Amino acid sequence: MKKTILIIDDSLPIRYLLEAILGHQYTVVSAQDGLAAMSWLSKGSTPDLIITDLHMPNIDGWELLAHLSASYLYKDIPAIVITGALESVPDDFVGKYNNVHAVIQKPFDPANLLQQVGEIINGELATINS
Amino acid sequence: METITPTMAPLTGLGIAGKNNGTAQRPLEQERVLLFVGAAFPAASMEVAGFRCLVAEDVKGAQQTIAQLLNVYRQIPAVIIFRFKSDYETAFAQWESYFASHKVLCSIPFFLYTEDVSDTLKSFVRKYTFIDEIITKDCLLQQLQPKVDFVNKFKRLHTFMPLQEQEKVVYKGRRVSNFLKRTVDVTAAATALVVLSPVMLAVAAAIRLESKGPIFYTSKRAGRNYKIFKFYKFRTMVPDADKKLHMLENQYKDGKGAKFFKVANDPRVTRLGNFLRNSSLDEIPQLLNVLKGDMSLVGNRPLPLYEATTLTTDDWAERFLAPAGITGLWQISKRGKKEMSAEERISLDIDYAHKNSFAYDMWLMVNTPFAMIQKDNV
Repeated sequence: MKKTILIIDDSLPIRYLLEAILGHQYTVVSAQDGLAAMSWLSKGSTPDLIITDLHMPNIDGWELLAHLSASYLYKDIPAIVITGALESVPDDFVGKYNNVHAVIQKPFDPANLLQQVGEIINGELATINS
Repeated sequence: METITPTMAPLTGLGIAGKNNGTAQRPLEQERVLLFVGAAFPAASMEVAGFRCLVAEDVKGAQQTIAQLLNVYRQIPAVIIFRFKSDYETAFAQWESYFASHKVLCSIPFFLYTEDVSDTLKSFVRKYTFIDEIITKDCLLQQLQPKVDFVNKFKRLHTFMPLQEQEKVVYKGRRVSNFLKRTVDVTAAATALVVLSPVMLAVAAAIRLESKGPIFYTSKRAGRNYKIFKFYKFRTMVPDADKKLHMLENQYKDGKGAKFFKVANDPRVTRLGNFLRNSSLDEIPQLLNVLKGDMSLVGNRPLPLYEATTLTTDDWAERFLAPAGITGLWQISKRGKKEMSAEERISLDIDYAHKNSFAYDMWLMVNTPFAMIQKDNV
């Protein structure tokens, strides 16, 4: 069964692009902001990985990650941040939110992203299997 | 919502946690109420920051408290915290039915309190969508406020601002157009390859006679949806041209970064290559890419990966949503003009992604021959 990735980005072209890049290997669900993502998660859905932008309307990536990383229900879901404003991300970001495994700057290399996604998802599987 | 008789004896029979520490002196209307449901409030002797704590023993008592808060104080609890216990199945069924008949109360954050968070409990809780979070004593005393604020904001937005339909209009739902486009691509490319095979043989012989090295030039390009494929052309440069690119980039770059790297009078281009480029004969092998489905006859220029990776931004990623093509909007509108900036080219690509249709492709193909002969040597 394919693993599921939740993509959260307010840019429709980026969502389509990520869906296309990741869709061959994974089941991809996309949300236009943290509100849509939380709506999906609150129905009991659990993705294997979250890829999120930071600057979004309604509920942004900062709020979302702060909640997810401190939540017993969601903190085990690994996340990758993909942002166009890397300079606004503090150096200790990954350490602060223990579910965030990587921060990637836009523009990004899709091949590199695919590799990181594979490593994180397979890493998680290895942890679970052991 | 069921009818409840208002009472002038508010919160009769309810325990008010922290009533001796001064917080109970403030009017209830001005406070955020934490309603704890369970026999023993784990922070009974303490104040939970930012909240007036009320305790109800069971679900029925909690629902009576909510009714009193509504009718007497015109407010609802800021959060309901339900202590997990052995008869949870009955209690959860009661809560589920309560929220189903009191829709407006669904916006209250509902947390499950437990001292032992197990994976079984987590997967069990996910089945009950009215439960927003699991908390422990530490969360209750130290992290409750941000959790309540977040869930409250989410539920408020979710309740009062229904999710917008995701925009699925621009790039999908063109099956007929795509079918026609592919049919024309395969038919035209196959026919052209047959018709042009003598020309291709002549060009191949000329390339081999002029300089040593392969007849075809292949490179990895990113097409529609960033699909990476092997792109074919007749070789127009010296055999190790790619290795010399870095040297030329350093020589010509303006410091701002070259998104589309082009050099006027590129010294790597051979004399025959110059002719092939100006006559566009070097592009004939791309018909193989069209046959394979990597490209279309009409579309955006497939980009080398070093250029493509610079365009995966919110503003420019849209260009990858259109197919890669031999000819396109850029070729017929401004090709060969020196003043064309990288931004202008990307804008044309995005413009094509918006207008992309079978009829538009036909119009571009009809206009392509007029733009075949380039004026500038770029």
